[in-house]
Amino acid sequence: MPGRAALLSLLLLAVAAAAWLGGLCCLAGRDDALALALCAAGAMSLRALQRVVRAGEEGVP
Amino acid sequence: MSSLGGQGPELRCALAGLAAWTMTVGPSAFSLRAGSGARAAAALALGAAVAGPLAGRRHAAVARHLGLSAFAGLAALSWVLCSLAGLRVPGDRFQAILGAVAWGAFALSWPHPWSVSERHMLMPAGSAAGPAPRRSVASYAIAVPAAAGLVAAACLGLAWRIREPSRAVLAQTVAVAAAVGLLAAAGDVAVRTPGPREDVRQPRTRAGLGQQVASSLLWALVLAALVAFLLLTR
Repeated sequence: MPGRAALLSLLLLAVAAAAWLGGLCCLAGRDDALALALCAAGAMSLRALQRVVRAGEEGVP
Repeated sequence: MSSLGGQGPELRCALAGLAAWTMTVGPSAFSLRAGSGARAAAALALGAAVAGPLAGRRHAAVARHLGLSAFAGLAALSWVLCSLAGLRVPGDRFQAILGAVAWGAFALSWPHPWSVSERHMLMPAGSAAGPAPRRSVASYAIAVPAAAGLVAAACLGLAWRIREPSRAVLAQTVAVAAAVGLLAAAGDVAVRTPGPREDVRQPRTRAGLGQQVASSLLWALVLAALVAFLLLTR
């Protein structure tokens, strides 16, 4: 995987981790709408990460 | 023995399913108080657990639907029918622990995740077993999964702070999904990132990030904007 894709994947992983931690904190704090949005953002970050990794391995689709 | 060795993964899946069925489904479904529906579901689950993996090599999709979906669904149906008949499933705490271990072993015994395409599943052994061997590993190859493990543990711990039953179930589900997703992604990133001696100047077919990556990033940005909006208007 090229260095740029590796950097981007690390960034996306950090974003996903932060989003899910924040989402669970919001869920504990009864802020359901924000929790849902944060968890969805975390999931989409991981989806983007998956695609970045695949693009880095196989060439840009 | 040689024929058994050739059927190794299928046999492993079948035995793991059989163990899970024996520890959790069978005892309650075939007790005296259980109804005929629970017994039929349990018997069908047993058949699916054994027949699914054995169909694996030639009919991968059938094997997955039978060995994973049908087995889990029929086992759940049997439990529901047993519970409706007033039976405790599982019977005691020790049986519950053993059952959880058996189902975990069953889950780990299936080597092919749903995301693997049929084309890759039908490849010769070894060709779909992950990335090619590397000359070197990135310096942060251990740090990234370790950090992800800590965050995953924090997610799981946060979920236990919620005491209301309905919200707690939701939080546990989200936390488990987050933990699994983070660990899998961190492992993927750690394995595939370039090491210090690896030449990263790979030929690229096209400049840019690609349409799929860009669309995923766009969705993540839209959701981030939604989060910001919710934070500002609370």
